[in-house]
Amino acid sequence: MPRRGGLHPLALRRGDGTRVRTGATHVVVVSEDAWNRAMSTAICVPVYPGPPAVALFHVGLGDLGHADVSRALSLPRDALGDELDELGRGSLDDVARAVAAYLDLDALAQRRTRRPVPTPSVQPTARQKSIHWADLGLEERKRALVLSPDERNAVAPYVSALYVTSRDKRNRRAWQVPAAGGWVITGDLLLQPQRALEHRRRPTPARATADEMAEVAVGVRGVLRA
Amino acid sequence: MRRAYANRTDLVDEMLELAPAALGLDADASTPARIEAWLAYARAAFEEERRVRAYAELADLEAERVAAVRAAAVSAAEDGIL
Repeated sequence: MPRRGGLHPLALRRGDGTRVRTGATHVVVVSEDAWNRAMSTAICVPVYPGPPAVALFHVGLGDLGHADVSRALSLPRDALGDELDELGRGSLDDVARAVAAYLDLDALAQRRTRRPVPTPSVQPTARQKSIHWADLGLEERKRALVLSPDERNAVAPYVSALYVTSRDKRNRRAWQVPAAGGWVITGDLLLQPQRALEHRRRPTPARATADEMAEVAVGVRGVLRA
Repeated sequence: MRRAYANRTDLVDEMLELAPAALGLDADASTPARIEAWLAYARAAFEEERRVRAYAELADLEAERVAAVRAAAVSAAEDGIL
């Protein structure tokens, strides 16, 4: 079972078992151990070789390389190889806090209003708090609630979103928030290419309220222990 | 506990055959000491089995969610953002 702070090689596989090539060589687990034990997935921050290049989103991990907090995502347990090392407490806190800062969780938890930034591109971009159908290549589309801030959504080819399900399950009550017309799972952080999100037809509701987002942000902060 | 024994006679039989050394006892340990050690061993074994079964049930319940998480990660990797 992955532990918070564990450094693992990344070995992501498709549903049919074939290996997927990734730029990240390793990941650091940042989700709390109660989640890791019970939910078969873990929130991870990918680690890339070399020193940090973009200081704002990269946390240097010495010889290991750097963690890119803007690409934090949930991974199934079997995508993590055997634990190689454990991050020191200081580095782990830095990484977890940087993920929380990147996702704007404090502002969301305090219901601070942010006006959406203008989009420089003609392509539609997802907005924080908006809910989209996501085409994940599964039989049915899934709902995703966008969590990453608009300053980033406007320029990055990907967004960070949370999985929304219509099923209320007792075993995950600690980590599901009633919001967005369903249940938002606060430890299921999806890193989604913008193109995978449907912009024309949106689910109902198409947007979470500030109060719902505040609950969600508190929940995500809890899973991250940040 | 009693119900668990009833359902798992194979496990009970297996544990009844345990040598004193497997229970951390000397070969000449008294019968009460053997029974006590055996009960402690049985409780731990059943607790472990209950825990493993509970996690297996959880894994089953969460299969759809895990499939979505995997698919999203695969999609991110195939787009070159992971």
